[in-house]
Amino acid sequence: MTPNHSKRNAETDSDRALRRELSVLWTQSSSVVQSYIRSVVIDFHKAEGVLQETAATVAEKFPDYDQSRPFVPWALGIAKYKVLEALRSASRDRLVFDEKVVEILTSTFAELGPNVSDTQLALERCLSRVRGRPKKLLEMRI
Amino acid sequence: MAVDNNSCLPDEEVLQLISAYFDKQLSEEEFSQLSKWLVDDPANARWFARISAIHSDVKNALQQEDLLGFLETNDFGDDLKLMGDDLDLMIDPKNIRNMLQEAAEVEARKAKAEAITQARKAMEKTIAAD
Repeated sequence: MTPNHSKRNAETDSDRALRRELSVLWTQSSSVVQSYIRSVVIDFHKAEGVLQETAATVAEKFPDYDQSRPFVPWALGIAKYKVLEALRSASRDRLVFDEKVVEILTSTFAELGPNVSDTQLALERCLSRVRGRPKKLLEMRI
Repeated sequence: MAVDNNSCLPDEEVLQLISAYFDKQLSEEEFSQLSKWLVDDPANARWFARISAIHSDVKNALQQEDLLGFLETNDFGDDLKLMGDDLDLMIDPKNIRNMLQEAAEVEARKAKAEAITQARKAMEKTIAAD
């Protein structure tokens, strides 16, 4: 094996490890990032677009992420810029939070961290027991 | 408007404002009230974040149920039938983490096997040289 070949292999392994790390961190944190985006961008489709933009930028900038720091605040920082962009393009809407409120919510979701999504399992169990008209009502509401 | 200290929950008026916000039913004045309440106290923002997370999680859970219901009531041919009872396990995003962990374990086993092979080759070379 030539030194160049060995170097190429080492880079590939490192890239692979980085991708794996990103996948694990994003899986753990995406529901918090999604909740944050949905809390500020009320339109469902716009919020999904902002989430996709955020995920793409998180993947792009992941090599710059300092792994000694928590991932959620870092990802929320990226999400905040995407949210502000979306809000600026919706500036004609009457009911849009200003930058100060967005800033407060960013740090609040960062404080809550990934544990905020622990309720998801409990909710799934509760929802599986809801039937009939109450279930229909819930679906219409959401 | 304040947080009701007896129940530690925001008062009913605030809860209604938050619900109306998620239903896109707030007037401009109510929206200003909600914005002011969020800025007034970090505890308020924490409540709002928790309630938002519940809204988001309920939405995700209902979407997942919808998708499963759709797949169960439609014929997608033999490919999907083969998945059978494991379908809900495959869609569950939590399984992605398990899959990644399994992949990491496979990689670790491969690396270990490779290290053993290299060590064996080195030993063989040493013996041959002796």
